Amino acid sequence: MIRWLWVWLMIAGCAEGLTPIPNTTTRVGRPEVVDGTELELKIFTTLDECRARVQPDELELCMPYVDRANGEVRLGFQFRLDSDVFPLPLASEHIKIGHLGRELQGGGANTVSVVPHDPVRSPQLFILMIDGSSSMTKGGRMEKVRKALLMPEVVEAFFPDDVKTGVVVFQFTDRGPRPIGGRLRVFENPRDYRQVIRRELRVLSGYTHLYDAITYATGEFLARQDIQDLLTFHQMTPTVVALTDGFNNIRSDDTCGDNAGRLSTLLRHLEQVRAPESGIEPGRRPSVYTVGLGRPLRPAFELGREVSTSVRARDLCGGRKVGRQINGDLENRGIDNASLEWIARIGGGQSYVRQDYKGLGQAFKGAAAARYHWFEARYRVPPFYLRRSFRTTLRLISFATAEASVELFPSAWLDAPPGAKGDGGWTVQRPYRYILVLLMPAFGMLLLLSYLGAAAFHARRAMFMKVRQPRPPIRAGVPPANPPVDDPP
Amino acid sequence: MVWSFPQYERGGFSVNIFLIPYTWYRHLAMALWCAAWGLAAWAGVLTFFVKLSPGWHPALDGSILISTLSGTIAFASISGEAALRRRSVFASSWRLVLATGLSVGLAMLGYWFWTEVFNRLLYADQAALDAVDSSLVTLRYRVGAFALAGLASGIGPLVLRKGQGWLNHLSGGLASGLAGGATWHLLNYQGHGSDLFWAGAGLGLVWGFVYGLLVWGVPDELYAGWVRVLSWNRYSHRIPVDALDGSPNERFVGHFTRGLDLFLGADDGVAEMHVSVAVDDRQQYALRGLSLAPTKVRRFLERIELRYDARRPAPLQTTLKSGDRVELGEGEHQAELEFIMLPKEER
Repeated sequence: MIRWLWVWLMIAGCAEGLTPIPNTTTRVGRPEVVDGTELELKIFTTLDECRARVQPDELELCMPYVDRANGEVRLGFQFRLDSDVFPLPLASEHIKIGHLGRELQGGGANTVSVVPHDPVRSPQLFILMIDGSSSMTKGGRMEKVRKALLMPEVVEAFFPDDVKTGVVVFQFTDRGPRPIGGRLRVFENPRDYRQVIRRELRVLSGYTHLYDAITYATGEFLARQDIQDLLTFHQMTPTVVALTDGFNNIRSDDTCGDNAGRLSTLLRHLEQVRAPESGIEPGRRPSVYTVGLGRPLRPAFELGREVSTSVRARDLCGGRKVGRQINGDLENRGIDNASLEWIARIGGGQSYVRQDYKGLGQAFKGAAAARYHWFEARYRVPPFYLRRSFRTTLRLISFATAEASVELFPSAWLDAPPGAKGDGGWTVQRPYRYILVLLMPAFGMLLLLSYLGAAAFHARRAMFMKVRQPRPPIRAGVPPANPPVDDPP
Repeated sequence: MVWSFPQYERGGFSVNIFLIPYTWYRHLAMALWCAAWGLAAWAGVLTFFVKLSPGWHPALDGSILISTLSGTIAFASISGEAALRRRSVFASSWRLVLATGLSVGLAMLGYWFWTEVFNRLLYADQAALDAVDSSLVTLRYRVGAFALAGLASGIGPLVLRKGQGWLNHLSGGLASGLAGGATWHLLNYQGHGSDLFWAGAGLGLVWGFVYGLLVWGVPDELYAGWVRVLSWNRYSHRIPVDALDGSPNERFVGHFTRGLDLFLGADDGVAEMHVSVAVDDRQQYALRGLSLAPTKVRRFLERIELRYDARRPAPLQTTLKSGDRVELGEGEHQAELEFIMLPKEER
């Protein structure tokens, strides 16, 4: 009978294309990759795939995981170009996650996060755009920049031992970006770089043409034939790092609101050069990191997940500062952190605002950060949305195009032990032996209850019944008789 | 002469009648036993899922879980009975296999019928899609499957018991399956989350507990009534009241030295034939006062005088319950007896 049962189970119930996820009761379908994208987004669904790509101690994080009790889903994925791994410096802003056909927005009951794993240095061309305007004289700002650029960890980040990188340094003012030292040089070793930074980095004069400088670095400069050859030969990815201490400022009477249109133009340019339609292969598209030196003018400013390239003056400056003059007013109050954040978002990088040279060093180091081999996409939704099978979609919205989705089937009847809250509020999968936390007390309680009846019965008899032989009664004039030893005949 | 019942063949395990005194608590014994097996069945199925990663379709998950629970709980009932009756495991293995297999098969059949036939007939539109969605966590479209699986867990042992207690088996099985399903549903949606880990444990535990409580309890026939001496003279001597073949029987207590079942001395205020303890074919016990000497039954908040009244055509009698005490004689000349239910195997 059991044999027939197994045969029936195997024949009638084989799950086509569904893979059980070890240590869970969830199954996962075959990932579906959207055709026609520049990169292949590979979602890991089997242990073999994870073993081939991931460190052994991170296997658990690589496998899909659904924690229904906490409403959390985790997927491991990576990007590939022509079947080779394509590392990216991905953050949660660069990817969109869809659940049951709806795109998840961070905030409220939903939380979205991307966790990078397995950092790797990739060949890069760093294009440093340093503000050379006259305001950099104030408070020894240029000295701070110099010290930051010469910090050993920053130099190590720009010139790692294991891969080929290059560094080009520009300073920009109202006369456009100019190579440091007067002639264009691509530094390929730390010695030359240090020497030039020590000797040639100095304050120039004029206003801050920040947007033009970034436009140049990501457009005209990269289009130069010698730079193209360099990028192609060494398979380098261009990374622009722009530093400023104030606002984009072209004329003396510029107001904050005047920058809205200029910023829109820059953002459209960045979107264009980073778009698949640009004709530039994914590995040659520039990323833009921005570094601000000083205090942010709008500390509470935060971009939403959806960012448009059309910037309104009110959005850029806040309501009351739209008409305020930059020169002599706003630039003394702080730096335009909103612009910097906008540029970094569309440019596929990060934005940093720091006030001291150590902070600047960290920012430069962050801009030169490693790329990552694979990532975890984590999201949290109300558990209600996990009460049936669901499809999760991952879509890259920066660097290149890539999209894939996978269907997850949590069991409708059983769950493995729920996860424990870990660092950062995300759930960590508990080992299966956690089931003993339930079983041992439960079986112990049942055993105790089983004995409780007998124990109570005997305790009651011991307290209220004659469990010892009573003493013989003393009758008047009659000595107590010995109790009979044998039964009567 | 020492009375005793013959020793039963020792082949049982786990459930021990000596640990189940004849109190109301004995009704929980099988409930606790079946609850433990239900919990173990859930843990076994979950371990199989988590550690062996079965490759069958998700639509079979429910069928496998509830048929396993149904079979395991039926197994618990039959094996518990076998242990209590001291049946050899090997001698009763065919009974275990038959009852378990029957319950598993019927539970699978019931699951299939409910999900694939009944749901398709009953529901339409979106509800029909939800009803056949095997990935949906729901009680609404599975309640019948729980009920039928519970029924199956009662039918397996019922066939083995040749239809005895059919109402208990059918209604208790049905109720236990539904109680398990309700617990599974409530624990799943407790708080704001959805957690089928604790819900699954609750399913096995409650299904087994309710089943053991309602379907087959420890039967009275495993116990026998004993009369035991409590007074100083012949303290703790005792005799069983029941006949070996379970037929009606009567035991006599007095100081007549020949033919009576329990001798107590005349010095202790006991008449020649003072009282008798009778048991009928329904295992109801009664004490009859046969003497003009004082005879009193004492129990909590109750005193019953059974002294023989010569004007009455028949002696007075009262129902005896385990723990009742009987006083024979009075004052300095008094003996005391106790009526107690003990396992039949007690010597």
